[in-house]
Amino acid sequence: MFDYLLIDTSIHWLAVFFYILATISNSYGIVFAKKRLENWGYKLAWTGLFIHGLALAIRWVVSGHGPYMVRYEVLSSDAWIAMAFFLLLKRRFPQLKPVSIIIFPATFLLIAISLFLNPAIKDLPPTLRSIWLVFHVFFYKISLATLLIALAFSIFHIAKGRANAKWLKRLPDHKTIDLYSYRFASFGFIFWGIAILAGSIWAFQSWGRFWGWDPIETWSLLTWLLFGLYLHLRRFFAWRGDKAAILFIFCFITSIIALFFTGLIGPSVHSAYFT
Amino acid sequence: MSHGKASKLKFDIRQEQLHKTGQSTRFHKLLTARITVLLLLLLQLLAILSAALIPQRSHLSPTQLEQWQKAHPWFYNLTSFLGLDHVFGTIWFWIILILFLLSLTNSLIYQLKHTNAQHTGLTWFSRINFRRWGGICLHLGLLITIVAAIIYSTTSQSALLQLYVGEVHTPQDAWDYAESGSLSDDLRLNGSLKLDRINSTLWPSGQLKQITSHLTYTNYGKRKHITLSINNPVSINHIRIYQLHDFGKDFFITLKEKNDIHQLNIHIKYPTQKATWAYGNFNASEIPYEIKAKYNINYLLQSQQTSLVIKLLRKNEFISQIQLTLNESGKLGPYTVTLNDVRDWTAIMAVRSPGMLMIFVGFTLLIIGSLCLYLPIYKSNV
Repeated sequence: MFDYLLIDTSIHWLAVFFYILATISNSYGIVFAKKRLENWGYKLAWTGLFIHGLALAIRWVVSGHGPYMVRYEVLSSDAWIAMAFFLLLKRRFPQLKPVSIIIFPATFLLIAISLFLNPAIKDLPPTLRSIWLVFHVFFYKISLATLLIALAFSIFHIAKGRANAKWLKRLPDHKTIDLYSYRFASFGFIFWGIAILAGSIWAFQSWGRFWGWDPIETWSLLTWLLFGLYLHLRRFFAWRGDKAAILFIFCFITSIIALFFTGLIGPSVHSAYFT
Repeated sequence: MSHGKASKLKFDIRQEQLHKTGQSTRFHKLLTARITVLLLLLLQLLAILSAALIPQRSHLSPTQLEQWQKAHPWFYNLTSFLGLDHVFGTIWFWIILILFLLSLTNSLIYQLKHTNAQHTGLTWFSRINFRRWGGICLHLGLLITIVAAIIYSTTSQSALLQLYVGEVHTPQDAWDYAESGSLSDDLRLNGSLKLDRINSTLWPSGQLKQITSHLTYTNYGKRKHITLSINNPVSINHIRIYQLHDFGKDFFITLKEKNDIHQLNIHIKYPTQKATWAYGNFNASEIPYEIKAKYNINYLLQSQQTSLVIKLLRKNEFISQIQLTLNESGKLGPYTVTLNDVRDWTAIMAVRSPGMLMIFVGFTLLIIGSLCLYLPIYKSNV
């Protein structure tokens, strides 16, 4: 008998398998300067991405809506976007390659967590059928992908100054790492803002109000303002280096709380989203 | 007045003007100082963080508020005193916001005064200072959004209404629930609204797919047919009408015991999850019993065929049960019960929200500004 959920989770586990292999190969290659293994890691990641994408596409067709209804598919699609974004950008900007040491495990962690959640398909309630919801969710996912890259550079900056590992010395210099961290943080700021805007339009269309100080809305605004503070401190108070990196990590933690945990804290109009 | 005295007067006036100019320059400098901006930003962050962590009165029902108060008595007193349980309504939050707006406005004026293009280039495009204009756009967008949001919060009006099929709501009728900003009255429609019929569609799983209300709006004798569905509001004279998720049936029953007659309305909402039955409880002060009722939702919207199952309880102890269709009577405990009427109902919401367009204009400028400021790679590395 055709059991779609069994097939769905099986394909996801296959993708996890490839991501784990990619992580091991790539991380080993970066740390021990084995270029061949490092490149194999990227190839395995591409394979995992393709399999993962297939699972999401099939689920989209079967459910009749995008992957933004239940936590299982939300985490899975977040992981896919993060991986796809990194792999595509890496081709254009090879300096991003070392970031895989953070992106790969983050991706398989997201997808692995999702596999412990209920994969049942939920029908789309009428409130969630809006193009603005699609933009809202999509830009949050893109934002998460850029913030992960910025997080990686922030961690590199701190680690490079404190640890004496050979592989850290092979990373770009402090100034370059700091600059990339800033650039991707600012991308995250832009996309997060666009996501809030799209969400406001959707809220006005569905609920008659563009902002209701809902816990998720409040945390999202808080995160955006924190990133604004980070950018101000960098621009006008010359915050650089480790100071900026630590602040960014704090901002990133807030963004994770806003994205994944506020729905669990209290009642919210987004509750249907976080089932 | 002698020439000497006139000169001295002019000098004094000039000194006073310079003193005021000096004071205003100092004030301007204080407002736009980087540390001031940072401080105001931090204060707003702290305010929003406290609203995020401490339950706000506007998000809690009176029962929930009472429970929280009992669970955290000393913390409740502290947060109540500081206004942390209603942050966005406190005077200190508004002071911070106004200072922030003043700072932003001063900063914008300064930026606009100093936007001389620094670039040289063959085309007009290459001579535009995108970074500077990006900053201006972003801050202007922020200013417009905040000001428009203040206008919106003080002048918006909203109202909820439950309508039966066939019922007419006139401008003189009261709403079931109304809310308005501090500078506006309750919302009032210019014409009457009649609910003609309700259609709902379900997913194969039984969950609600869409609910559509067909209404007639009459204004000065002119009729307009409106079709409302969830996520598809309709605008009438700058008032947006929204279809809400709630719909169901009301069952009007009569309970008769000797000479006592009680008219009751059992209000049952259509379930949000997949179910075979829709349930409702009813506690009437006039009878010493509790009533639980359900109707089979396979007969959705066919009111004349809908049967209602009524259970009579006393202190949770089962007394009697009966199933009735329209105009049927039967024995329920000590009562003779008659199902007199079944009416379909749904809930709609009317909203007037001045300033919404400006809010979205502000948002758009904000995004354009941040794109210009942060997407391109500028020569000076930050």
